[in-house]
Amino acid sequence: MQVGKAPIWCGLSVLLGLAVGVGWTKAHLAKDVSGSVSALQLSTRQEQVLKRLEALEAGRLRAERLNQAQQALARVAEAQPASPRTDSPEATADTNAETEPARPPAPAAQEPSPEQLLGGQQAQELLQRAVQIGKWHDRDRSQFRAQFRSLTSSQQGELVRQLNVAMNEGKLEFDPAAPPI
Amino acid sequence: MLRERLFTKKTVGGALIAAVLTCSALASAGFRGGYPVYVGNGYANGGLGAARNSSDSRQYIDIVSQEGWAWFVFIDANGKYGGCTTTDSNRLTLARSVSNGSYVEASWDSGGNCTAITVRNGSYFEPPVL
Repeated sequence: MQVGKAPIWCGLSVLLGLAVGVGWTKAHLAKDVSGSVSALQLSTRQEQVLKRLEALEAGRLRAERLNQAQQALARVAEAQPASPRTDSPEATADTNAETEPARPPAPAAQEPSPEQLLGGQQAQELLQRAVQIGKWHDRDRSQFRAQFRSLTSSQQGELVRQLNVAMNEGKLEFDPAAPPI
Repeated sequence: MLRERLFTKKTVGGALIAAVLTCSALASAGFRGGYPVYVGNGYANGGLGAARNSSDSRQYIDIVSQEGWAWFVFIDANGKYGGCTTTDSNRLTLARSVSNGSYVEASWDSGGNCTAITVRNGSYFEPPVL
């Protein structure tokens, strides 16, 4: 009898073991599936967040580029002079004055005319004569003065240089009451 | 008699006070310098006002500036001449900055070319008064 009951208990035990095993497997399988689902959902959310971040980054970059472009435009606008008004000649003249200040033209080196060349030669002769005698004759001095006034600035400068050298060396006296020029 | 004495005392006292006030006013007139013309070997200096106001009839400073050149002329109390010429634009500018109360100093080389020019305008330089 006891021997007859043993397979039954054995079979029941096996069945029970199977049931427990199936239950456990089911539970674990369910857990895995739910975990996979939640993992899947998480990855989807992450993707969404990433997409949003990318969009934000792109927006930020666009905004930055726009800002840079605006700054460049502002710099260009500052560097450019005010556009001249064609309807007002005064305004145009003012604008030109701002960009290029009106300056007096540089004095060109004046070439002596034939008369001035002759006058310079005569003045030099008068000066040499005065140096030879150590003083000015009244007539020579007045002639020298007259010639001197008709000469170019360059010719005058050269005569004054010679005059000064002669007086520094004591070869020609200087009378303040009757200066030679 | 007593009135006369009182009047004399008052007059003398008033004169004394006036003299003290005048002296104190002169003492607070500021520093003044006299710079007569001096002509050395290769240089000269002097104040235009001092030259003009000098008791002798010789001292003389003349700065002739023209387009492109300038001539600095000095004559001291002994009648000694010293001068230089320049075509340097900076020295021409200095020549044109000379005024009645200026003090001018010039140095030159053996060719009479200005090598240094100094123009000073100070409160202590004598202005021409005569």
